[in-house]
Order: sequence, then structure tokens, then C-alpha cells
Amino acid sequence: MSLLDVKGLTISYAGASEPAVDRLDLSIDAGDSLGLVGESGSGKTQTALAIMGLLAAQARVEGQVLFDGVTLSGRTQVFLNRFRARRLAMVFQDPQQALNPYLTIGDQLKRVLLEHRVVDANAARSRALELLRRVRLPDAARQYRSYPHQLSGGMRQRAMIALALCCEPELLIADEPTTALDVTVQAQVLSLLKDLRAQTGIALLLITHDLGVVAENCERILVMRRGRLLEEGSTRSVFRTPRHRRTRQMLAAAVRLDHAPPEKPPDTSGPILEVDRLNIRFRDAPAGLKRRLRRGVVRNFSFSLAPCETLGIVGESGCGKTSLARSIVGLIAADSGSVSLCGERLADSVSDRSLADRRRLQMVFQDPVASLSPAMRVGSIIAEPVALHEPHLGRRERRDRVASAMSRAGLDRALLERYPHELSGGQAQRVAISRALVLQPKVLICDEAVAALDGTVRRAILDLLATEQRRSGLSLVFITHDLAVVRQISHRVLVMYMGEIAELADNETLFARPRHPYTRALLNAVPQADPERVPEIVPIKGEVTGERPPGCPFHPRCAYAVARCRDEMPLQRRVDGVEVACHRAEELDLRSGALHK
Amino acid sequence: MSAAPTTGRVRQATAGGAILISGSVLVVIAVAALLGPSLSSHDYFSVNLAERLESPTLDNGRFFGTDDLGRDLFVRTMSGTRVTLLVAIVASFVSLVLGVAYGAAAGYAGGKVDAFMMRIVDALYALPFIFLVILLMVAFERNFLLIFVAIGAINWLDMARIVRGQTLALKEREFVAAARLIGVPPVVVVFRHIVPNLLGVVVVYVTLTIPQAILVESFLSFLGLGIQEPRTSLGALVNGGVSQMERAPFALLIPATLLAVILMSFNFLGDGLRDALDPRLKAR
Repeated sequence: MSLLDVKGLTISYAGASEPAVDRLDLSIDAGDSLGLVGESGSGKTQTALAIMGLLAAQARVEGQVLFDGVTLSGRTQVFLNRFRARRLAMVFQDPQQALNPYLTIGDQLKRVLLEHRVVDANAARSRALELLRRVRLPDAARQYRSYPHQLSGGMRQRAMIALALCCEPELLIADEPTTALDVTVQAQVLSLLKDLRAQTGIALLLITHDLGVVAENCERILVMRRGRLLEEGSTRSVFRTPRHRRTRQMLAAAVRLDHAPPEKPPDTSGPILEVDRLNIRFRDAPAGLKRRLRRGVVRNFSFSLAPCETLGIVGESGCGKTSLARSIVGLIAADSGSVSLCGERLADSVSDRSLADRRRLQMVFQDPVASLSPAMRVGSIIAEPVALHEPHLGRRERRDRVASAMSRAGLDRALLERYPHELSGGQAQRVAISRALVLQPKVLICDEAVAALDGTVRRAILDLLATEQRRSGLSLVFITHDLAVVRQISHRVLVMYMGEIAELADNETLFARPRHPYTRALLNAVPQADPERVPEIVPIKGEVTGERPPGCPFHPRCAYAVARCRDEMPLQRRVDGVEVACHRAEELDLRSGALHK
Repeated sequence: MSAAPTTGRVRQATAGGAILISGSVLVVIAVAALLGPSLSSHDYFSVNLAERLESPTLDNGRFFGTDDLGRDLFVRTMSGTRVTLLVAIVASFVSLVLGVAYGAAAGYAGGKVDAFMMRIVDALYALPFIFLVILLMVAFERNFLLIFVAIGAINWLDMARIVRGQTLALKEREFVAAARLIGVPPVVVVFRHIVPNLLGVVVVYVTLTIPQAILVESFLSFLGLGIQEPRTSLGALVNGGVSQMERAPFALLIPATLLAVILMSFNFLGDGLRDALDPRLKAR
């Protein structure tokens, strides 16, 4: 008999046409690990909540949930509270919301321990500390006294895992546990989960949209779509021979770093966009009368972009990539430095730029729905720039422009009268893209434009941008945290760390032979949808801290750091045609055997 | 995540019902107030001491009875309703236009301009407005228009603060950034992208302003500074009814009930409109 048995689970809501989960069966053996994958809205989280008995009261649940032979469905809250606290545990996507902001990490652990496991406050304290050490929280004694907001995202998720392990559960349900984390931190948390499983034999139900995470962490996989089970089996066999068409599509769209890079753009004279020694600093809110200057978010940043070229900018959260994008388009003011378009220097603020300048430089934002005005219909959203830049056009011509922009973006005309909230994420992003492209800009800046989208939709949007580029000779700056996206669409790649350029190289060169240890660490940390791949040991430690350390900004996390890195800031220089800012760029060989096979 | 497919629809449905019911109640009252006096054989100012404090009856058209001077209460109530509705609507309109324009401008401009504009609002808050209104009434002719303007002038300050707060939040949203990048001029950004998105809040606040305006008007009338006899308003009628409460309860109950119905209808209408105006709740 398996540890967890779910039979015919059906979850439906009044008013919804289809059930959220439809007759789902799943089982997990003791010590087993099952990956539950599917795109957003496929019912993964609903399933997990149903197992835990945490669904909202409006949900109608049918079917059976058996844990170790004990029925959990239809039990009272009192029974569930006692039972699941000791035998099941759950880790949520956003540890910020799952932890109580008013209690220290230690208190939260202690409360659970005192409630279910131990009676003595001292014993609870030492047990809690031990748990924090076990999840490899650095400086556990200090974190014990810290409040959740004082911890970084990765540390919070570790604390959350410690909380889940309090009662030594037999099953851990992890719902997108690393989605909110940076790749390097994600790799650390996943390897922690793996080690904990090896030590304690706890079973894992890992819910994720990321096939790479499943490939590296689960023995079995279960693919869901629209509440139904598509396919189930051992991870290897599903990845090697997917039976269902939809699974094949998902696998094709999955994260892989061995895509062929796009073809080189035709050589043309002169850069179209030049960013020269840009510095951005944020001021803290005025405290008293003195305004404190914060450390630079972006420092001495220079790069150029050729016509028809795509430059990918990668970096972890907080590295300043969004500030850089917003500063280029003029939404936030730079402290110094300049941005030139077609050889002419642009005004710092977008309000001072001419209509013609604005027309040539457009931007697409991360959250597609938030970038569309909720009170406007799709038709008027796309028509607005046309009316503004070509006021001489008649109503009919304007409508034709909108229609052709929509059809190029793959949008159905039936959507003209829709409001943004009535669109799917992918449709909304297409609307945002057609609003930008209807002006026929020279340069389009995409800030995490596909981060909020599911795998197959993401693929389609990337294809759309590439097609537009070939059609109209558009130059793209593609800002993302996702190396696979960069691999797929950019000609050159710029790796950014704490507001500075770590490395700038051709796509092919960067992935084949990274020059900067940070690039190497990023490449290693990406979970790839290939269960055969043997993941390398991640040589990166810690997380980005708020304060910029002296010397090389990366040295506290770098596996190759030497004394010089601590004292002297590396300058950006050219090594074999690659721009890199590392003292040891010439001597280190960071080539990886496992990246390409 | 998908726990809310029902609530949206439920809210939508109740919103429709609330608008329909409260809207038709208000329309009926407004039509009665407009046409009622001319249909009756009585007028609102004729004093008839022989027929003082008569109870409501269907004979001879005294539907609501008479007051202590023998004036027909049906006609007086209807013309009072007319005045009350007019005060409410004009005052709210003044506060709506002034408050939204001022608040949105301050919020969108931000920085020093915003600080300066909001300090003006703070300074105006510090003035005892009722006394100011009384002074105005004493200094100038007591005319209708002045009452409306004075009451609107009290309310626009709150509206400006609320709108400014909403604008500050909205202007950081990405759709406003996108509009700026396209080249939409600031004034158009405010009126095309920001104001429509704060209408929900504004409508709710307007429906709170209307009862407030009605109450201020009846307070002024009570002090003898508002509507002057023989003209009347619902507030003035309620005040008149209070003195006859024991002998002729209908003289208080009828205008008071009408006032309550009007206030409640405006509140329901506001709730309904907020839900209906929220595009996120619009049915596909």
C-alpha cells in the first residue's frame, strides 16, 4: 500500500463550467518523489490543497484521499489539524506570505514544536536551532531571533522548510517552492531538499511548472492539464518517450540550454542604441532633512546595440536590470551618463523627448495585464499610439493599422472589444507588443516580457518577436533572469551582477566558454529538462546582499576568489573578443562538459 | 486562485439589481417631485388657518395632511424634495469636478507641486467651513446658488485627498508608464488613463457626499440661513415636523421617511455603480 493514495479526486466550483480537478488518481510510496507538473490553471495547487484539506469552503470535493490507509477526506478540522501536523507538511511558493511577519523565525518553530512534539520550552529551543542548522541557514542562532522580513528570499524558504520538518512528517508537499527565487538560490534550495530526502527518507510531492526542476529532483512525474491527468510514469521514460501530444509540446518548449542560437544579424554600420557610462542611484526616502544617497544600482554601464540585433541582458533579481531598462526609456532619471539613439543623444526624461524619439524606442513590460489600462478596450489601447503619432489618419485607416498590427501579433479580431482582464496572460502580452510595434520602433526593450507566461505561451511570444525582427529590422534588448530565453533569442549576451557588467559575449561563445565565474555559476544552476544530465556541484554560495562588498562585487560568492579579488575592483576588459570583468579571466578555464553533449 | 469565479458573478448580479431598484425608486421620487405640485389643486405657500394640522386623507387632495399653518403638506413635501435633490446633485457635482481635477493633478504632478497643492487643501481644512458658509449667507443675498456652491466647496476637499491618493498609486502602474512612452501628453494621461480607473472609488465617495450635502442643507435651513420660507426642503420640513410631533406625527414621519428612502437609495446606487463600473467584474 502506498503512503498517499488519491482516488477520483474531483474539485469543482459553482459557476465554473469545468471542474478545477477532474477524476485525478495519484499515489506516492514512502520515500518516493513525485513531480506534479502542468501549466498555470491546470489544477496542481488545487490538488495539493485538497490533499491537505485546505481548500476554500466553496469548493465541492469528491473522491478519496487516503494517507497510510487513513481516510482524510471529509474529516473534521480538529482531526485534520492533529493528523496532518504530524504526518504531512507543506511548503508554499511565497515564503514571505507563508511566514507570520509578527513572530521571529525561532518563535514560529517553537510554537509548532510545543504544540505537537515537545513540552519543554528549552528543548523546543534547541530543537528549533538544530532544524535551522539542518536546512543550512547561515548563522542559525541569529536567524532564530530574526523576523521574516529580515531574511532574504532563499533564507526565508529555508526557514519555511525547517518549519515543515518540525514534526518529522512522512510526506512533504512543496508547491512551486523555488519559483520566487533566483536560479542560483533555487539550485541551493533544491539540493537541500534532495539531501534532506536522502537523510530522512521523507516522501516528496513537488508541484512545479518547470520541467527542469522535475527532471533533476523527481523519480516519477505526473503531467496535468486542465484538471485532468495527461500522463504519468517514471521521469526518464516520460521525458524520453512522451505519449501524449501535449506533453511533447511542453517538453519542446521546456528550458534547455542546448538550443541552437539564432543566426547572426547582417553586419551593418554603426550602432543604433548606445548607452554610455550610465549611473543610476536611488535615494532613500527623506529621513529628517538629510537625504542619504544610496549606493549605485547601475554603475558605469556602457553597451551598444546594432541594427537587427538582439542583446540579452541576464542577471538575478536586484542586479539593476529593470532600473537600467527604465532609465534607457527615460522613466527614471540617471545620475550621469547618456543614452543615444541613431547617433543622437536622448533627453534624460521621457517627458522631454520628442514624439519622434519616443516612437523609435519602445518598451514591453513584465506583467502583461498591469501594462494595459483596465478601463480601456483592446482596440483603443492599440489605436491610441496611432492616433497620437499619425493624427492625419482617418478613422478607417487607423482601424486598418490596428487590425494589421493585431494580426501580425497573432491576435484574433474578436478580441478588439475585450477588456484586459478578459485576456489570458499570453494574449495580454501580445496586445502590449502590438501597442509598441504599431509605431514601428527601431529599438524595443523587453523587460522580463515572458517571465509571467507558461512554457508554450512563452515560446510563442519569443517566436513572435523573432519574426517581427526579421520582418522589420527591429533591434531588441531582452532583459531576463532566464538563461534559456537568452540562449534562444539573443545574438549577444550581457551578464549583469550588482549593477555592473560581468561579461558580454556572443551567444555561442558565452554558453560554450564562460569567462566569468558568475556566468559559469548561472549556467550550472539552471535546472534542465533532461533527466539524463548529471548536475554538477554548484560552486556558488550565498545570495546577493544589499551592500556592495569592496573589491570585486562577486568575490564573497565566488569559488575562485583570491586575495586580489577582495581588494581591487576588476575593470572590464577584452579577453579573446569577450568583454569580461574578472581578474582571473585569462587563467581560469570555466568550460563545462555537461552543458553540451 | 480560482476560488472567486462565483463571487464576481454574484456581485455583478446584485449590482444590477441594486442599480435597478434604487435607480427606479429615485426616478419615481424625482418625477413625483417635478410633477406632483402641478397636479395638486393646492399650492405650497397658501396659508389656511381653518385647516391646520389635518390628517392625511384622500379627499380633497390632502394626501399628506396639512401643517400648523394649514399649508398642504403633499405639495410642500414634493417641492421640498425637488430642492433637496437639486442641492444634493449640484453640490456633489461641484465637489466631483473640483475634487477629481485637483486631486488627480496634484497626484500626477507629484513632488513639490503635489506638496504645495495639498498644503492648500490642509489650510482650507483648517477653516471652520460652516461659519464661512454662514458668513457668506449673511454677507450676500441668500440665494439658492450660493447654498449649492458653499456645500460643494465643503466636500471637494475630501474628494481631492482621496483622488490624489489613488492617483499616486495608479501612476506607478505599468500602463501609465506605457502611455508616457507612447507620447501621451500628461493631461491626457490623467484623464484617459488615470481618472477612468479611479471612477469606482469616486462614485462611492459621491454617494457619501450626497447625504452629507442634504444634511448640511437641512442644518443651514434650520438655522434660518438655507432655504427661506415659504420655500422649503425636506430638511426644513423635518425640522418643522419635529415641533408638531405629538399632535401631528405624520408631519414628521412623511418627510423623514422620504429623506431616509432617498439617502438609502443613493447609497445602494453607489454600491451598485461601483461594482458595475469595475471592468474586472464585467461579464464576458
